[in-house]
Amino acid sequence: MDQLVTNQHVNDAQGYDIFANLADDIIYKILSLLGANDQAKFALLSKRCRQFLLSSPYMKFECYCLPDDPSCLCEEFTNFVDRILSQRNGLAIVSFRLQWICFNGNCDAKQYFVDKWTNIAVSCGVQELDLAVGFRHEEELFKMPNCIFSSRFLRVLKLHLTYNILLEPIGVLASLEDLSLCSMALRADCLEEWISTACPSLKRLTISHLVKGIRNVRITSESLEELDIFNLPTDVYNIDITTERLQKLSLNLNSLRNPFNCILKVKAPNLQDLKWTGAVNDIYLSEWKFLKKASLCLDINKTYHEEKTICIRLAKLLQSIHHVRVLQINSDTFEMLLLGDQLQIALNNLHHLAITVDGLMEYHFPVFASVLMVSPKLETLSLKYSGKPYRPHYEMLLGLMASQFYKRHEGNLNLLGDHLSAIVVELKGKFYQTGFVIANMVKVAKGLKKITIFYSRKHLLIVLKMWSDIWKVASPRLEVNLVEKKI
Amino acid sequence: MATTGASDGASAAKKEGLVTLMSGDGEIFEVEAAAVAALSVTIRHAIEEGFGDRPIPLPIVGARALALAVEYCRKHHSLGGGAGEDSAAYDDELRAFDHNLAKVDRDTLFDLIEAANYLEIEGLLNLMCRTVAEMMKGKSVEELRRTFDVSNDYTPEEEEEVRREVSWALD
Repeated sequence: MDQLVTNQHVNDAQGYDIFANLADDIIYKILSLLGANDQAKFALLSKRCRQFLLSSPYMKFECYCLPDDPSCLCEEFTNFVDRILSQRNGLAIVSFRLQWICFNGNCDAKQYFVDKWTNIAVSCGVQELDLAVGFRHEEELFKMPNCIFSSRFLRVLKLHLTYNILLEPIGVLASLEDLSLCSMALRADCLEEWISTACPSLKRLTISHLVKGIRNVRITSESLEELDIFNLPTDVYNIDITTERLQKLSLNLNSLRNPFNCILKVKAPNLQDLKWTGAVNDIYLSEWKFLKKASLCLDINKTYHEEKTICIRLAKLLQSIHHVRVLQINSDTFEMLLLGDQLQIALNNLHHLAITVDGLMEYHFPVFASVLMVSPKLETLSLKYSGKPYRPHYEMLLGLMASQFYKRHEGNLNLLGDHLSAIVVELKGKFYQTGFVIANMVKVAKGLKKITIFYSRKHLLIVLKMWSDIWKVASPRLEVNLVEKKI
Repeated sequence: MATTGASDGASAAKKEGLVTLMSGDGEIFEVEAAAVAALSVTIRHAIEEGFGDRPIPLPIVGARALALAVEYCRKHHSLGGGAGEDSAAYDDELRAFDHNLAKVDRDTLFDLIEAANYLEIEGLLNLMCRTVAEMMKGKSVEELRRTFDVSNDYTPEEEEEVRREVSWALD
């Protein structure tokens, strides 16, 4: 029964099924989208279905034994995988996923088998290798099977090591384009060696859930185009990224315990897309002349350090991103910049701005008006409620800034960009003085053509009141849309 | 499908930018060449090979599946691929369109897979394969056999042996 058959349909009436008309490749494709449990049930449907599972070029073996689970399945698992792979006879493998984690306490995933099976996958020309394997004890060493360094086809390598230690690469992965290093411990120079030396063609890199031991994350690559970093150890104090070709960078530094003292250096002159979540680090950024899109979610108040330093750092950030075309940002970043009198850098390419707000008070109008003054080409402004409770930090100071703003700009508020043609507001939670802010924006933005307000049903009455406030000041040509939405 | 429909045949006067497709069951569709050629590799090649003036025969694609595939191409051609500022709104609309398209009955679903495979419309093929996989997830062996008309050709002993073989993956 173990003979592998492909491209050979079982034609007897007994074996008929709706899959019979589908090409083998399509059945393999559908199978590849199933987890091990559903795949196993597929094999139980009929002999033909079982043969499909055994001959699939997308191989997926997943065994996860929980601690104290009386039914450790490692033996059955090992027997099955070993038998199926030993009978593979060179039949092509496109992707190979092995998830083998035993927390049962009785046995360990054996490096011998991981090596042997990876070897077979490589000899069958595997292009995508996804190993989620680990030994029970943290700080156990994991050595990549040597055979992968001789592969000419490996494009994707994903490693998830249940917090074991990854050792240095012993060769070069010449064809590798996509690398993911997750849940592991590794030394700084080992990480550098993997990225800079072992992967000369690397295009995409994901680093996540590293455990302590690495405090200096240095990424240098001449080929890298996309980089995604999240869940770094809490005590990392230096992140240094030097990548000439990088286009897309996603940083989530929420895990850092002391972000204020963490140095973040990014030298990526060709960056087009930036996503950054965290707090205000000690930043050294190159100017991103080709930046199209940036999404920044920075917790300004996380560190309780003096405002002046935070403000200078934010101004450095604004200087780096000032070529951006589409920007999403939280409102307190602008509030802080205004307080420090640092909201002066022109955002000459900014066309679309989405500001996340916790609540809108009267003093937010001068904040947004100041942003509009430095954004002459802005076409759409979106104000999105985060739904979090509003906790003002510098209410008094902002109130003061607001009155100074009115004095300074009395009568010439038409300095605001006349390109602004649309305002979108998405309401959630409490609205505070949203009506005042919007009505004032409508008053000053002469080119405004359309305003859209998304709201949930329970807020209808408040929204209608807001609408009447806007209506009083709007030109007759302004199109106001109220859209009910599940928020 | 306002403008897709059976016309009175290939003899009808050719309109600018249109291409004629003929389904396996002989129905004629006049569709925008740009939209279908952008999404379907097969039709793009047919047009490049000079089929533009004659109906392109699609022998294994039924009329109903072809109409849906053409609709898919139109929608994705008009909203997809653009890097414009409205791309997020377009993405939402495309997701909603795909979601609705995937609600077809089982036989249409399998017809659409074959059509997408023949026409080489990668996005549609992926969407429909994902839909079948979603239909399979979490079902018992018996439910799967009923849903997909699979008859069991194992003897009870053989079935038991396979059950043992994959026991590590079963609940």
